[in-house]
Amino acid sequence: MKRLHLHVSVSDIAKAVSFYSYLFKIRPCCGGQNYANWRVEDPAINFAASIVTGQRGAMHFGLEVDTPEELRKVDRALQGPLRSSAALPWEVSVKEPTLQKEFAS
Amino acid sequence: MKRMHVHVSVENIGDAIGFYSALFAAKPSVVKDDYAKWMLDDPRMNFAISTRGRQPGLDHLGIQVESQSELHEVYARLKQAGGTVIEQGHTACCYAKSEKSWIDDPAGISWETFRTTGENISYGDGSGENEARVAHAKACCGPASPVAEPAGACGCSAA
Repeated sequence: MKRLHLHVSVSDIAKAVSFYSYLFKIRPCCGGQNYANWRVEDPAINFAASIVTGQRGAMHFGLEVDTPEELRKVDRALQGPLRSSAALPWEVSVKEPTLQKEFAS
Repeated sequence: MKRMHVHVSVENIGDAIGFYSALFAAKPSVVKDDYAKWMLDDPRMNFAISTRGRQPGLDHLGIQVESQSELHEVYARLKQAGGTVIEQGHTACCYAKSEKSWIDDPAGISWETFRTTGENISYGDGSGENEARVAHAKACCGPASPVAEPAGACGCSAA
């Protein structure tokens, strides 16, 4: 099953951790002083928040797929002018982080 | 089961439908002149785009629920999360009739919690939505540049 990934930029990581931990009813799976990541099952999302100076809001969206074949399939579907037509950067990645591949509008 | 909701403002509905149909390998379930929506099961989400005069980029996020009990459960979470919760009650927006509430996260990103009960023939007047989101009318969510994540940060196992 694919999973939606959302990465947002926030100004205060502690406030974001509190807010989103209540909203998702789960603690972050990992993080640090400038970053937190929640693996939520209902709804199934990979949600990340981090501090990026001068930026607030959505940094990028993504799709996590299960296999490299699925990744290549999405990659092929987005060839040509489609790739530059997104309003936001989208990242497509395989769930195994070492196989990550990224594209951006 | 809840469903993640993402609403993105775009400049051109036709171009955006082409992009997202390719990305999701699915046609939108709703297509209007100023709006389109994908109700996907893999990944499970309600993804909407619109051209309603807002700045291109993320408009808002949300959690769509399927029952009244799920709605009340998430409403309770919002109260714990802090900030101002604005309960709109029953409203028509985005060609759908829903019961919903709004909250801003600490960085100003609007989150909608809603249960859709049916279709609406028009987009909706948006009056309730505008009132609910007036605090958010600060263009926080324009297009962003890609930024590298901490190594392995997104691939970690669930706690």
